[in-house]
Amino acid sequence: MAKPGLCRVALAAAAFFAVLLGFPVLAGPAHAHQLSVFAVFQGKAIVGEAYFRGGTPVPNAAVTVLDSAGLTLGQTTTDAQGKFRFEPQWRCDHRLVLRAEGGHAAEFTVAAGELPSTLPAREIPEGKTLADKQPVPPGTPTLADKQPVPPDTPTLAGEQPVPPGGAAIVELSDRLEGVERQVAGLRKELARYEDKVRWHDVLGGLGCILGFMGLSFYFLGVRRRERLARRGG
Amino acid sequence: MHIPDGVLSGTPAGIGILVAGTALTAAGTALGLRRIDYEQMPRVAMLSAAFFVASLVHVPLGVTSTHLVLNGLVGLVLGWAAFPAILIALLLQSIFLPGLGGITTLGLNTLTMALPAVLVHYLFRRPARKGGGTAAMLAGFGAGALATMLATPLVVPALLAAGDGFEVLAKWFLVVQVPLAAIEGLVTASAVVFLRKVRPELLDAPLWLPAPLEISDG
Repeated sequence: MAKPGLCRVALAAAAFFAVLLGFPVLAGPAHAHQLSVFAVFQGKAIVGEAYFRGGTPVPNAAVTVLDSAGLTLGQTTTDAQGKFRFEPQWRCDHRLVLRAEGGHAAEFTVAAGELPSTLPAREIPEGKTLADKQPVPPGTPTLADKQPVPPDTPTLAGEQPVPPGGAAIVELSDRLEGVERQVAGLRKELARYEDKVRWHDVLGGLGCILGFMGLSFYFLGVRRRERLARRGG
Repeated sequence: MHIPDGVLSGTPAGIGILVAGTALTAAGTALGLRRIDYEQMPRVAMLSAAFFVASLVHVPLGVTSTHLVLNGLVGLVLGWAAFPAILIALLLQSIFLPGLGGITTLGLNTLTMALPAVLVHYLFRRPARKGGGTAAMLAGFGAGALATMLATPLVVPALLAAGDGFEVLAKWFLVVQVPLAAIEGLVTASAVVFLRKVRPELLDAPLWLPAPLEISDG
């Protein structure tokens, strides 16, 4: 019997794993069936996008917006570029849930802290559903009865009279918007980075399997030693 | 094939399915672990590793794409030991690889992939091991394709029982499974042919290479 030489076997195994491991590299950007959602508050609305991991946008997918208690705040749909927009009416956590084909779902939460303080806080008495409480348009001073505002003080939500240094403030807010946009971009990159399958993850998984194998060998060895000892004694 | 966390846990029926899947997987894993001995152990680990990596191999299907599963190959080689092998691989996938399965669905996912694997083992192991070249190749194809197809009658009812809005997902699943089964079949067939040439003892098959001439000196 000509047993294939060790060299040949090693070569074949190396080729097998090279093919197996090489595939994901070639098919990298086509990692298209796990979904991801990302959103930030920008200007007046929560803007976000849905994409398959790897970057392909998810067009025409329904995004349901829930609060932290799981009540529906609203719904929106992604456009052809996978982008969507939702105008929040409450200052609370917004959970954006995307459900798409193939049993795949994705979720992203825009924290209450990201939303402007001009929006009313969400308070739903227990046992009541959303339908009982109509959303109050932003700008309505709902907190007014709790914290009486002196009549002379202009509220944030009301019309803001232009202060003396108006031009400077306008400039500042413009810059702030620019910074906001940059941060949003960075966060998007970060979210995408987290979604990527990285080599050390794959190697880590394979290493774990090897570790489990070693552990199992140890226990099998213990069992065999015990059996031998019993037979010997 | 990998059902993520949160898809089924919303309804009582879905939770029931998750619990049932976990229980059946525990039983299958216990059965599989009893069959693992010294010689079997590296095989289990190797196929577990192959299964773990296979999910990174993307198969483009028109506008969408899916990934290899390789549960047919795992089942063909391991039999009941496919349960622990697939369980470990899925656990590590849900930890390391974003978007592949989840911890709560681990039991159900293992069941939907390992049960067809075990069935395929009993259907195709004989031709894959003892049959001729063509028979082994066909057995490999059958094992790969059938193991993929058999996952469907397990996953689709689970999605449908979870109710609202999952009909679309179930339909999509059916459409994708057919071409995937063909591809799985081809990959498994070539793996069987390859293993029989290089490491036939992995399949418990006799070596194909022609025996060398006996040299006798009289």
